[in-house]
Amino acid sequence: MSPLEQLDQLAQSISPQTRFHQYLQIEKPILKAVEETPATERVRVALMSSFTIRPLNLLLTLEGAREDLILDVYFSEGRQSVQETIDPRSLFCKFDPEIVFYFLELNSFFPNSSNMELGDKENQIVIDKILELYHQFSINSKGLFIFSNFILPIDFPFSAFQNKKEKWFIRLNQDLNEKLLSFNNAYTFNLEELAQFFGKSRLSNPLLKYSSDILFDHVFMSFLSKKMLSVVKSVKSNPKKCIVLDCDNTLWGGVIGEVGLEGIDLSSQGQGSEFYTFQTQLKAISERGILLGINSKNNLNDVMEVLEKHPHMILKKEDFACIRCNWKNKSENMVSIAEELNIGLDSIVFIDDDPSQRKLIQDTLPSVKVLDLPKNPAHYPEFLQRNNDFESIKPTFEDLNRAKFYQAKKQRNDLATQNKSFTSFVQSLNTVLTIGSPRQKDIPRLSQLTLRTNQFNFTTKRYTEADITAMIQSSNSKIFYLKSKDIFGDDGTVGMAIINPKSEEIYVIDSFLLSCRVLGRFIEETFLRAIIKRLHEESVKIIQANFIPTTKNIQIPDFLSRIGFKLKTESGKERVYEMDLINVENHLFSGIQVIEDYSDE
Amino acid sequence: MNEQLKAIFKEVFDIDITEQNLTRDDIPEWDSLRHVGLILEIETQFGISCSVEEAMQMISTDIIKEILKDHGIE
Repeated sequence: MSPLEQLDQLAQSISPQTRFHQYLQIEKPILKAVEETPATERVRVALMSSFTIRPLNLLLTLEGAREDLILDVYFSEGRQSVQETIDPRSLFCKFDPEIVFYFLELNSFFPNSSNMELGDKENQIVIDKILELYHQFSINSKGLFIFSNFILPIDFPFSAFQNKKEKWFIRLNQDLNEKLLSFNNAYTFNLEELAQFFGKSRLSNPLLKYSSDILFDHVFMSFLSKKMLSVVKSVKSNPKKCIVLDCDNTLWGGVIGEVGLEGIDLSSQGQGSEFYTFQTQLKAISERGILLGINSKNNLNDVMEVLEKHPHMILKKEDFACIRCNWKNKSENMVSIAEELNIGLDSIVFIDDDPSQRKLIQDTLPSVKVLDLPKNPAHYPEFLQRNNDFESIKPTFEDLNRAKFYQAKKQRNDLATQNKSFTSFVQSLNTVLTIGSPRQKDIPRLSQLTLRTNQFNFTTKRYTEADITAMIQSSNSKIFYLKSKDIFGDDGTVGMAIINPKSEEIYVIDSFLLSCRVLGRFIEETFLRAIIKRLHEESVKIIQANFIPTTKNIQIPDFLSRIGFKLKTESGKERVYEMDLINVENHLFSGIQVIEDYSDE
Repeated sequence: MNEQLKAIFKEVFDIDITEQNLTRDDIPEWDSLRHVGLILEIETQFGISCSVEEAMQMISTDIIKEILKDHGIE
């Protein structure tokens, strides 16, 4: 059995009913399986807590295994957690975590905080100390700094009115969030909201709290570990991009083809309001940048009538990037949705009330994530609330406008079919590209592009924000961003390239990637040619391009030879292409305007 | 010897206890975290609620038996 299979088996053996000591019994096999995993395949996560945090470390590793990630979890408890952060020789710094979660109570800032008058001064002290901790952290580590916000204490004596203390905590959490968000690799973790959702009175076992400084009951830890994993996943794995939904008994109650527009259950109040709430949640997810699609066995006209005319439909026609209502089998539809949206099946989540349809998709397209929707629609909203597939730690401009981009793309396609020649079509779009060197504010999006882009990506190397920051600072690498807009709208940052010098005259393309929604309009050619032109002007003689083939980036070799690259060497999976810039003919396509922006900040 | 207590020690530490007293020093696995697991098992299996003081005191089989006696368990 592979380490992952071993961990997965252990993960199957636990449940919310698992007793505390049973976690400790599987500690050894868990740690052994992690150790047997090659270091490069582990995700290094650290838990730094002012109180006893075990066995959350074990729970997190098991939760990771359920999602095919092997988490190597370091932990530090008590006062040491802060000391280890500061000390560059500490085990924590040697561990070199990729993601660090801090759980510090207010008591670790003020030893007797529960008896203190809390005012503006105390707010400032806590914020300053956390920022200081962050700065110390960023000296020693490149990882993501994730700080759990403070749980609002339940007042004693319990009062029905909001008290001063509560307001103080709310403000502290707001200030903390605002301050940390201004850094590229710092985030707050909304522990307060999780505690609220779980139930504050159930957070801890009083005996353990007072005897052993264990503030979280292991049942809460198990809940917490799922939410923490969604943070890890949003950084480390292929993010989900689209929810594909069934219609009847999923988006509304009843079968539209039988009961008609008036007959379906969907209402802002009373019967049908569970579907209304469910749709409201889906809408909120789509506003975070996840696309919605429909895959339903229905007559298209029936469904369109609901989308356009039902007074209580939260989700309208324009909220769906792709609609398949027909009598074909759903896996066939699913493949065509993935093709139309230009996304991988592994970035799709499927929601359908019918277990047989779920099984069909699961069996035929195992890379699609199929959610096990509860039988009773009244539980749909809570089910979605507990789901962790759509976490996005810092939504970018592109995330928030993604649905709009896809609509603009549809309009472009319509225009393409009207146009006689393809070049005149591209010209009619009045595309304007901006190519330049990235500033601080561009870094989150560039990192996200490396994580998300699979199709048009030379090497599919993934880079965190910290990696990119380091590359910019080293000033050895040349990094280019690409922004694009046309008559249908601003697509924002859609591409990036990383180019490293091999010698003064030879430069190597380490990464070159474009979001698939801009492909096929001469933008990819123009981007690469503009970069080549610039390097040529800087008297670079030879450009090499690394190419690592995957199942998705098969169009790259063709693209490279179109530009003028020739295959030079092939070793193992990696290929090197080369282009000699002497006597090169490198004309930019005249139908696209290119603005270069290499000015320094 | 209380059979239930015997079963708890078997379960938590994988150890067979006898009439002879065993302390935390005799059982290397008995660290602070397993101690928590032990207390929770004692509470659940015997259906009692321990005070903080009792939880901290329970560091040998003899003491545990004594405390259980205080709760009316022989």
